[in-house]
Order: sequence, then structure tokens, then C-alpha cells
Amino acid sequence: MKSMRLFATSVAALSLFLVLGHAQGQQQAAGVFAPGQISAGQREYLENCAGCHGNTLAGANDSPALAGPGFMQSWGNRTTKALYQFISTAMPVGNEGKLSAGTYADITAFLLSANGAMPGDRPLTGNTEVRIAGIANGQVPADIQKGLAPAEAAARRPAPTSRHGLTVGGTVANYAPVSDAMLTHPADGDWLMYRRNYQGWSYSPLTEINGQNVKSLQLKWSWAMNEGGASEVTPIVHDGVMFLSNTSNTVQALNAKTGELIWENRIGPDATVAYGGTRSLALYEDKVYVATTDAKLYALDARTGNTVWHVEIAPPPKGETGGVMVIHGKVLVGMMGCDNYSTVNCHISAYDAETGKQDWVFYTTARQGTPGGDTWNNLPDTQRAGTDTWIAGTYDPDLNTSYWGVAQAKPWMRASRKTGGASVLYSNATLALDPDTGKLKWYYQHIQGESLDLDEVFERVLIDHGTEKSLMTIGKDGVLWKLDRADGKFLGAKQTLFQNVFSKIDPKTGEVTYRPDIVNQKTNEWVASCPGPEGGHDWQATSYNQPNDLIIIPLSQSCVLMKGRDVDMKVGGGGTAASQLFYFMPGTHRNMGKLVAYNTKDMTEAWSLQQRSPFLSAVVSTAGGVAFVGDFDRVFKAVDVKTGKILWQTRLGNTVQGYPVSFSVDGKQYIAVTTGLGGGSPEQKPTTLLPEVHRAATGQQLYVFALPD
Amino acid sequence: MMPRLGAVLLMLAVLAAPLPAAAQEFAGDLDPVPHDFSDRDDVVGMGTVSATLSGTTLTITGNFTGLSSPATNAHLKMGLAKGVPGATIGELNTTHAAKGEISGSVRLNSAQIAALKKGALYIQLDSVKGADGNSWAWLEGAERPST
Repeated sequence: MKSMRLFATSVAALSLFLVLGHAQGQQQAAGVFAPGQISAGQREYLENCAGCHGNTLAGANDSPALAGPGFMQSWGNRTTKALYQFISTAMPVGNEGKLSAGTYADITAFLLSANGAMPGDRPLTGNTEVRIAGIANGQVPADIQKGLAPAEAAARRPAPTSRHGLTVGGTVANYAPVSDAMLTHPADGDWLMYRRNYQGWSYSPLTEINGQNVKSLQLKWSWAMNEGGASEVTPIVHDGVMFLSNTSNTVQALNAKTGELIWENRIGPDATVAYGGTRSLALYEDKVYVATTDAKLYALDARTGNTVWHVEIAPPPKGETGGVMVIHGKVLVGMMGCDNYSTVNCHISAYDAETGKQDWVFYTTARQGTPGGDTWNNLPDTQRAGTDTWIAGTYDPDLNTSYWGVAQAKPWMRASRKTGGASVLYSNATLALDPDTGKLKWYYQHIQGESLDLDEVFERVLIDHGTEKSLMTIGKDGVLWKLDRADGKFLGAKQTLFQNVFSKIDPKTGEVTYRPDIVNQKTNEWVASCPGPEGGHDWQATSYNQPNDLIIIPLSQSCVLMKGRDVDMKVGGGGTAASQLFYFMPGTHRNMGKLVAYNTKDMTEAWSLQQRSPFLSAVVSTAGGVAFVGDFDRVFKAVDVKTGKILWQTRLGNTVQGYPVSFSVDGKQYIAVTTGLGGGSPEQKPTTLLPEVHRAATGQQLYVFALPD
Repeated sequence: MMPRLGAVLLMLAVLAAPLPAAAQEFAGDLDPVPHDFSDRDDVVGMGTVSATLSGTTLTITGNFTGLSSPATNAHLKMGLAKGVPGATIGELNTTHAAKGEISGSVRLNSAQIAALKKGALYIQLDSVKGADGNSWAWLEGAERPST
């Protein structure tokens, strides 16, 4: 266990002071790397590492800082050999251990240089072993503080491996335009949007596959998808045609029965990091809509794949991964990439589906002078970061209201972002928006001033019981929430797994009370969180099985210690700004995976099952009484909706990651599921905590199952 | 007469005396302490710990195996809550090897007993490579879920 790991935060701070002070006060040891390794390592860093750790080496999302105090806290008392070993076995994510020994040595040398170490006269190798604090002091050179030039990075990046644009031409025969009525009442065999229906159920009314015959499922066809990036895909199916988003913003149309490719548009840009996968497309009339990872919205001709129009949602480095939805001829899209302080706050926006003309914008960051703008501890708008919307919304046609979850503020910890006890709207809130105007009808903030990267951003599931029109959602804290979706009134909350973050959840209002040490947190001190940022619940969505009134929820059971850093309070500064250490959730016998079903009317648990590997796919359930879900260790399984009993399972090529769907062609029911790599905490935590799970470095693939003919 | 009366009074006294509280059982799995990928291999190993609270004395036994370096120390610790690390409140004995046993007894005060019943006490095992902690086991009561 690393020094300063545990609770002794004051000791930790003192130790850091001593380490840095000692390093700065002493004569640094002779250099252990050659001058040429700095430039070579910088080049490789830009190519392989900067996409996650940033051009200032400050880190972002789950990627820690590689220069400055954050790095020295983690590595100062360890050796160059340990650093080399770590990088050469664990990095880059998605391509671990695949670079040459010389490249890893150069990157190690560059990182040492970026922390103030001076070069010597012999090259660093994997066997060079000196204590890092003895040669580096954590002082970051000015050129790195300013940021390594992206242009320089781009110039050094090899040419894209694929050309962009329409790369395979073809025509979907007899394409039937998708109407508003079809979106509201989808055909049984179609899967037209992210969670299949506007209510976000991930439920298929198909019945051919059932509890008795599911054990006979067999693979009908498979399709190799783009490698690289993060793949967390929802196949969209209409009238026997599957529209599939791949990484690198590639969209394909496939014959859903045979797997034959009809057309392909490689929009680009190519994925350079194992992060930020496109989760869903949308269909409307004769177009396919895709929001790209560089925050652009494209409309493609559904018949041919040709680009009809595209617009910019936000300037770089913003992005979009959650997918889009179409309501009344408007394309609604969220935004992510709001980690750093910026002149552009995160927002949801709407565009004319025919022309791409922007219709409205709703800022999910309450800005100064607007309602809720006084909830950011008087910070200027440029220091209000986060509040991303990285999951597509849902919609109630009767109430003409669209529901969106909003992520946490950034930096993750309130001590870093200097918001004190302020609630920081609209972070971790449910928003009810008029889809025609973008006007806010109501909001409900689940966690005020969230401080531990526990998003409440995930799917809002719309469920009716008689006259009760409810909205259910569950966040990383594992609390299942129920609201009245007409007015946002709190109806109930249920803890679905162990949590130690809240000492109280008010049963009448749902207001949470944080554990005192979370409220009193300081930067550079560890704070414990169960669950941690893996969830609880994460992007792996629930399924609402309407006939049984059960919501089936994939959960993960892990905890973290989190330590926030001080950040530059200027444009470009900020970021997620926290380090993490991971551990198993106490009392779980190292079972990271939990699948649980709740009766939605009274919020009582119906059943649960636990297993070693967490579930990395969403759940899809059917009218045949079967629910499908897949896990980190490549197992795709079917369970009985009513009991959770495992009915069938098979082993796929890699982690089952994405959103499985069910559809039919010519009256035959299919189950489609993807394997994928990349992503944040749901990949990162089990990769560390489950060393017995071995996965290939590639294997992003689509599998389609059905009963024998 | 007096001896008989004395015997009766003694019997009444015995019956009236409060019964000694039944011992309470606790247990936990030894899991790796918080870590990241860089030191994952330093904190491997597994085991189980059992504890019995009799009066104010907590008696602990346990075993472990699979450490990547010899165990050095074992402690009883108390956190703010279950899963929240805290300070040492007692020292335990341990085998100085990659495989071995933990044992010891610690007298608890009322606050520590309350913390035990909340799940906020844990055993921490240190090792050569995990000097500030190799494994920990959070003690849970009889309602502890089975595998």
C-alpha cells in the first residue's frame, strides 16, 4: 500500500511537504536519461498518452496528473524502474504493453523531465532504478504548463488509418421513413432509439425467445467493428436494417438478418483515446443522426449514408457521446467534455431535423444572472465546469416533456472547485424540458453540491401506475429515485447496495445529508466513497419489464479513496482534479457484479444475484420473460425476469460492453449485443481489482443471436 | 434455619443477577487495501477474520495466504463508518510470513463497541511491500451476507 494512502490526511500533507521540500532543497542526483529521450518521449507521449492525460500532463477524467504535485505524491517515493514497469505493462489503455521497450523508456524519461528531472549522459532503460524524488522535484517546465501544442501533436500523429467520408456506397431498398407516430408507438420488431421507446424502457414486446427455449440460442452472424476508442454502442434497427455506430464516428447500415454491409460513412475524426464512445444514433424520417465525439451533429441519408448536413454543437474540446433523440422534428443533443474551465458552459441544444438550424439552447450550468445562477458560490461563469449530459434523454408525449439527467460539477471535489456547500445547479439533477422551446418546466436536484464523482446523469425511465406518472432513475450512489414526472415531486428513494456517502436520506423530501468528513473535505486529503465512481449504477442502463412491473438494474460494488487537488482557477484550468485508489466494497466477498430487480410500484426488491465480474452492458428484457446482460469477463447471459435465475450463457470474444437490443426480421426474433473496450471507471476499476480476468487488446464486435431456423 | 434461609437468599440473588451478555460474533474477508494498478501486485492475498465480543473484550482470530511479501504487523482500527479508514485502536499478533494467522484481544470502550456494531471496525494486515497496509477486513455482525 502506498505511503499516505489512508486516513492520515494531515500526515499525508506533511509528508508531501517534506518530500517536495527535501527534493527542492537538495542537490539533485545525476540525470538518469539522455537528452534525446526527452524529445522522443514527448513525441510518443503526444501520440499515445496526451489524449487522456492532456497536453499539460494535468490529467482528466479518470486519468491522473503526470506532472506536478499530483504526480509526485503518487510516485515521488517510488523508483524509475517501478514507473517504467507500470507504464510498460498498463499503458496505453486499450493497447497495454504493446509499445516497444525503447518507446516506454523514452516516455518515462519525458515524464521525469516534465517533473523537473535533468538529463544525464546515458539513456534510461527498464532497468534504471533510482528514487524519483531524488531526481525530480515536481516543478513543471513552463512550456508544458502552457500546454504542448496540439498542432505539434497532430503533425506528429501518423496519418489516419482510414479515409473519411462515404467509404462504402449502397442503398437501403424500400426504406420506410420514420414518423413521429412510429417513434411514439414503435413497431414490435424495431429498435428506433437509444432505449427503444421514448419512455426509456429497454424492453422488447417480442415473445419468440422465452424462458423455455432461450437455452437454444445460437449465433446467426457477427460483425467486426472498428478497434480503438471506446465502444459502448446501441444498434438501431428499422424494418430489417441495422444502423450501427462504431468508434471513430463511423456509421454503417447492415442487413439485420444477414449481416451484409449496405453502406458505411467514416465521418471521423478517428479515435485517439480509449474514451468517449458514441452510445446511440437516432432515426427520423429519411435521416440518421449522429452526434460525434468532437461535438458536431451530422444528418446522414438513411438510404445511402451520404452526409446531408452537419453543424457544430460546441467548439473543441467539447464532445458528445450520449446519443441524440428526435422529438417533433427537432434533434435534441447533450454535451460532454466540460471538464476544464471554459468560456462555453455545458448545454443541451435542439436542431431542426430537416436543416440542422439551431432552435434552442438550455445551459445545464446555471450561469450568473439566470435562475439558479446564485448556487455556485459566486464563481464567474468561466469557472463553472462540468454538468455534462452524456446520456440521451427520454420523453413523455402526453406531458410533452423531455427528461434529462445532468452530471456532476467539475472539478469532482468541492474543495478543488471552491464551491463550499453551494448546490451548484443543475449538477446531479433531473431536468424536465419543453422539447419545443427548451424551457425548464421543473428540476429536482438529487445531490446538492456533489463532491465524489457520483453522477446522477443516467437514464430517466418513465413508468405509469394508474394515475401515478413516475420517473425512476439511479445514479452512481446506487440510490434508486422515484419522482412525479408531472411536477418533480419526490416520491421515494431506495438504497440498492451498500453506501457510506450519505448519513441520511430524508424519506419525505429525498434530501441527502453527507457524511461529515465529506462536507469538511480539503484538497490533498483522502476521502472514502462507497460506492465509488464505477457506481453503484453507471451508463450500463436498466430495463423496465412492463408486464412484471420490474426494473432490472446492473450494479457494481467497489469503493474508492479520492483526493482532490488544487487547480488553476482560469480558462483551461480545472479538470476532474482528483486521484483515486480502489478497493472492494466491504461485505461483498469481492463480488463486483450485482444484478437486482425492483418492483417499481412499491420499490421493494424482487431478486438479486451477485458475481465476481461487474456487468458492463445494459440490460434488455422482453415480453418472453427473459432479460439479457453481459459482463467484464466476456460472459453474455439470459436470466429469468421474475426470479433472476440464469437460463443461458455464452462466452464472447471480449468484454460484453454496450447496449444489447432485440428486434425481428420476417417474424424472427434476434438478440444483438456488442463487445467493446475503452471507457472510464467501469473499465478501470475491474481492470485493477480483478487481476485474474485476462482480455485481448482488441475485439470490438457485434454478435447477433436467434433460435435455430 | 439460617443456613436454609441463606441458601434461599443466595439462590434468589443468583436468579436476580443479570445474565452475562451472550458473546457476539463478527467476521470479515481480508481484501486488498485501497490501491491502483501501479501497486496492485504488492497488496495481493486473501483470508478471513473472525471476532468475538465478550463483555468489552474483542477476541480476534484469522488466517491469510497468498501475500507477495511477508506479513509484518496486524492492527485493529476504527473508521468513521464502514468502509472509511481510520485510526489504530489495538495491536494484534501475526505470523511473519506470506501465509499465516492473526490473533489477539483488545478491550473496547463504549464508543468502540458502538462502532463495531455499525461495521466501522476493521483488521489491517501490513506486509513488507504493503508497509502501510496490505489487506483489511471489515468486521460485520451475524447478519453478514453469505457468498
